Amino acid sequence: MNKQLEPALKQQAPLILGGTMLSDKFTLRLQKYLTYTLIGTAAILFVFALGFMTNFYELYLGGNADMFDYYKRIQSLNTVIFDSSLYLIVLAILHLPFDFHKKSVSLFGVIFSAVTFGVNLSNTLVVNRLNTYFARLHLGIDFSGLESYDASLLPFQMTQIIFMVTIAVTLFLFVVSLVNYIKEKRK
Amino acid sequence: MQIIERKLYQKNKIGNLFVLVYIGLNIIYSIFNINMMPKSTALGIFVMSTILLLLLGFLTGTKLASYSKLWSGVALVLGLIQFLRLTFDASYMEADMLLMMNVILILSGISVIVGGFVTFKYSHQREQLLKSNPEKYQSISH
Repeated sequence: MNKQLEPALKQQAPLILGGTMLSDKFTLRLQKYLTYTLIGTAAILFVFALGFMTNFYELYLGGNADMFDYYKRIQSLNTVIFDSSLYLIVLAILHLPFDFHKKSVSLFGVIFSAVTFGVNLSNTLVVNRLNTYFARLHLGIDFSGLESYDASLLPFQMTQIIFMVTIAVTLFLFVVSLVNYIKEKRK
Repeated sequence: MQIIERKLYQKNKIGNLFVLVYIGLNIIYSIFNINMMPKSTALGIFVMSTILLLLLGFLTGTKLASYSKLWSGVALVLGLIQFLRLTFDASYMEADMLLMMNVILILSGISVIVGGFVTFKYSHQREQLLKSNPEKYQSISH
């Protein structure tokens, strides 16, 4: 009985004792999920950028001269958000040819994910500068004349939160792909 | 192999140094930022969160000096916080000043992440060495 069980126990022993193999799988799984999360976040940002101006159409249709001026000037923020969302969605989809969702990537893939993080960060700095400026300007305008307009800062806060999420996801993806690259290299 | 074996007995000075650079840059950032901020509740929140971050940074530095894998993850989170602080409202700053402050934040974030990463690598090597010959390194705690 014991002799029959022995080979089976020997096969299972490294799986029970060794921790490195499981942790390897964990970081690879993390990289896969982060890649799909990045593509999903980029898609959400793209849809949000398309619908950003819907919040302010009422100012164009029924507002006074001040509001019309504000409506014209906020187009610059809209353009910047849309451009950075285009950059991000193209870079996120280009992660798939590098096989980020399948295995640990090469050095070129790691550099590509670093570039994605850098481009997204520099875009975020520009967006944030304009975003806080227009949020402050929005507080200074009196919207009591418009009945159907909900004068809240929600669009600006949503912009900030979505860009924070993109920074976090791209940073984690870069670090995790670097960890996987070094683990693969050591083997 | 000799270089890794030395790490069994020596402290992780490099990982500690990177976190100390983070603490120094964070202090410089706080001094300039508090000087420019308008008086409001945000100022109080900023000061208290700075104190918390400095305490957490010091604890992370001491833990990284003894090759802790878990706390290198904390270092990564500290770096992420530095990057997220770039998206906060800074419209009270001049344009030239804002560029300098952003550069300080990005440098400190990169510094603490590199420190955590280096520590993770070293502690992984150290664990492999301890596992490879448990009888020889019996006296060394994990």
